[in-house]
Amino acid sequence: MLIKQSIIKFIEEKTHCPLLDLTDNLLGTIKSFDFMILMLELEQQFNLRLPFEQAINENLRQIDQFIGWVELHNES
Amino acid sequence: MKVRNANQPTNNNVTKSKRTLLKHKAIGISIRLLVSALLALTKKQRKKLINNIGKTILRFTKKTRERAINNIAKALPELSIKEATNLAFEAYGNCAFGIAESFWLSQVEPDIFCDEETLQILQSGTGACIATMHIGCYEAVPLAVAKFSSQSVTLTNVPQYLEEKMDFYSEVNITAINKNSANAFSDLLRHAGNNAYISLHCDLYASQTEVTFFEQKTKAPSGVVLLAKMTKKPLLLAYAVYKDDGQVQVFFETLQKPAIEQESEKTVEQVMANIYQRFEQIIRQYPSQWYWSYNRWRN
Repeated sequence: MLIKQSIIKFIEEKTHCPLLDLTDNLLGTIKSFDFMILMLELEQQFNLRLPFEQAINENLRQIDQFIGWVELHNES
Repeated sequence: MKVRNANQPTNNNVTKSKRTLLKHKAIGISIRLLVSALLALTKKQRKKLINNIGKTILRFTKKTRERAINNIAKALPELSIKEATNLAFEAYGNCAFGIAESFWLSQVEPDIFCDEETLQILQSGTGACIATMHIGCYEAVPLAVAKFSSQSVTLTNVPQYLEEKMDFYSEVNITAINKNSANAFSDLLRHAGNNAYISLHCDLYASQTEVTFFEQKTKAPSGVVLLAKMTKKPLLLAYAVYKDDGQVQVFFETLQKPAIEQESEKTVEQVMANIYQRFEQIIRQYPSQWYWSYNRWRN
């Protein structure tokens, strides 16, 4: 839940508007530069190691898919 | 009321796309002809001609000329207006040649300089992120990387129709990702994950990270630093300059190796400060080879 909140908060801060649809395309919502910052912040905040190439290969396009993927890495 | 299927192309659109295709074809042919004519000249003649064309262009583009002179006056206040003007023309001519050389990269044989540690990184085949700049021969850094690795990747602004026709990157084993393509970032990450060496120009303006450049606050693109952090790859700095005889020299330096666990890692701002400090030193060393006419310091 904390991961989901952090990701949504980050996106809302970057876009300056409330995030209404979690099925939106992540890289269409935030800039690629912000995506890299988000990955690094999540790694630091939750002490994770996120394999970025997996995120690309698995086509985690939607925000909710990305949240699920990060949560999965946090649990494992 | 007439309803037109949105997927159905209109006559107007067809004519427009045909016209665009023809225009692209004509540009492609003209450039190829021009390149063939230039290649018939000796290297020295070619350099002189393109240099003079560059200077002439600057003479007729008031805004660009004034911007270049203002930038030089801002960065190097010790120069008189006359010296700054001369430098602006010299640099513009040199940059014109540096850009033109992208069209015959297969004929460019750079001399490469680096220390032992950097050489190991370049030869390891495990990839790196490389911060580079618009100085001398712009594409000589990825070209030099391609001498070590089969995975030299860079971003380009060259229109795709031109690159496909001219083939100037793939001919020298450089993978050029078009900046404007929808998948540019995903492609870049994919290559980074596959141990590619990624050269990114980061001396132009972007509203990303604050830096001090020639004692003035400005902002800069820090994607290359973030990419290195994210991919846990070494971060190098590289630049290519011309010697007086026209020979290209490419210099590589190691800025940062991936941080070991528990080791405190430098922040993006700190690394960018280091990069810009080095950029400034390099530009001071080769002021007539940097791209001064760009709107670098913005409020």
